[in-house]
Amino acid sequence: MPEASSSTAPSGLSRRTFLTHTGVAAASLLLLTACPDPETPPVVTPTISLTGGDEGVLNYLFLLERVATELYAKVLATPPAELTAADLGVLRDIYRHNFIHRELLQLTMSANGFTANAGISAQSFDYASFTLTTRLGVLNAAQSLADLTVAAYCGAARLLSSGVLLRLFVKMMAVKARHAAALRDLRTPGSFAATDVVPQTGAEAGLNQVLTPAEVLAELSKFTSPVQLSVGSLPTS
Amino acid sequence: MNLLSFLEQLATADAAAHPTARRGALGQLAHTAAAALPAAVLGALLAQPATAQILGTGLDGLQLTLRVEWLQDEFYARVPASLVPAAMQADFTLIRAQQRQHIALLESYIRTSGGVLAARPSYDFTGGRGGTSQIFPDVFTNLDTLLLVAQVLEDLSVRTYAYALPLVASNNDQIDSLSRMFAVEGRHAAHLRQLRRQRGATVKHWISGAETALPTTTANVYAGEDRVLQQVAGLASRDVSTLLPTIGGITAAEIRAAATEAFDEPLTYDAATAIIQVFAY
Repeated sequence: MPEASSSTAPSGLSRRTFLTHTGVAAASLLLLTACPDPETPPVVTPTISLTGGDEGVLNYLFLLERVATELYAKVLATPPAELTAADLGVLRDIYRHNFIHRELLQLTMSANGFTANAGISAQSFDYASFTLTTRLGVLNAAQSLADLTVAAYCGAARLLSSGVLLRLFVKMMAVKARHAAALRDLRTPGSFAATDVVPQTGAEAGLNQVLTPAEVLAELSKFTSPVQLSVGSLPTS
Repeated sequence: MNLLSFLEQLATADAAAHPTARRGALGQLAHTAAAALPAAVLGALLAQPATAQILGTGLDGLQLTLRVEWLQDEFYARVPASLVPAAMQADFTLIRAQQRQHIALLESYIRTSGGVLAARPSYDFTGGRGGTSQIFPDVFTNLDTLLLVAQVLEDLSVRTYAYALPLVASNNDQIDSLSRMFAVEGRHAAHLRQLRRQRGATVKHWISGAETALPTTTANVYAGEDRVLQQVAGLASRDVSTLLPTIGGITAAEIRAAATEAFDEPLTYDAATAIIQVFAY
């Protein structure tokens, strides 16, 4: 848990979500002033950096939730015909739960005086790395985001400093684990807690895979390209 | 009266453990100029869930989760191989192995936290506590009953970890490990529900409303799972049944169901203990 140094008391503008929009204007300025050769402009990566404290942690969870929810919205808008009624029921439920989590995270940030990150629109999320036209492709996509979310939650409980927010987080986390297991069982029956997500030997035996925010954001950045997601000043304990 | 200190007092007064403290705080409110309170604050107060505060120490959390893990370990140890299809047997073997890994870690945390490991109690999975008044008399002779009890125990485990996890928040090692065990228990619970679905039971992978699998009035493992008010800040709760848009032919009942499914509610220490005691004595 964070010590007093990472207190979450909102302190106004200084805690605003920090967005580096190094877009067209900044890039052209660099071209004019710093780049001697107009043929090879400098590579400028637009980046979203998370803030510190609970505001940063909630925004981290919010990003995960936005990417996941949008995937389900896309799939359910044009579901592959080979999805069974049971598959669709599960996917629709998970979509609804994620939608509720996403909205509640936003309300929670507002209730705590935090700024929700609006640096990227959901329409720009890119799921081209998935095949969303087959049953297997859809389940594969949903499973990989669900397992990623569970691993992210496993690494994020220690980051929250507010007891109220930790209790809310815990309630959502259990359901995230249920989602991942349900999807895994649809795709490969009996794989709900297989060794790729729960090591069976060694010091981590019986413990769900855990990922740090840096690892999770690197994964998520594949869906937000060209915008890169950075841990910024997220707390580490 | 100092409103902030009053609010703090109210927030820490757990309704179950200290009903009088909470009543006292509310009594004091009656003596203040309630009309002068901003309506929003008052609304948040009235919406304040009675069970939002979780009382106990880190050691309480570790001991309680250990008792639940023991209960499950003992349950799977007693499952008769002849009753269970081979594929399901493999699932049970995996689940039990992971639970025993949790037990080893929880026991080591309890020792290093200065706690004493109790002896394991006696178990009776008929719910009869060694007597003849049984709730699940065919638990080890009827596969459907066996799966129902297994599901109840897994959901009990999830709700117990949800209670315990915030209690170990000051210890990074313990909160990391408990989170990771909690996630595994969530996976187990969803799988048991999947196994029951395959056998025709009308059940989802997530707890939908206050289900009634454990038919005793004193210990229902699903009590409180129909909650839709979630606390989002010290003084604020939100009704999560208002967050889904009413489009696409979704019914009011479906919206409410989703709102309850999206959150697994922690059990209180006393509620979890009462459920453990249905099977342990």
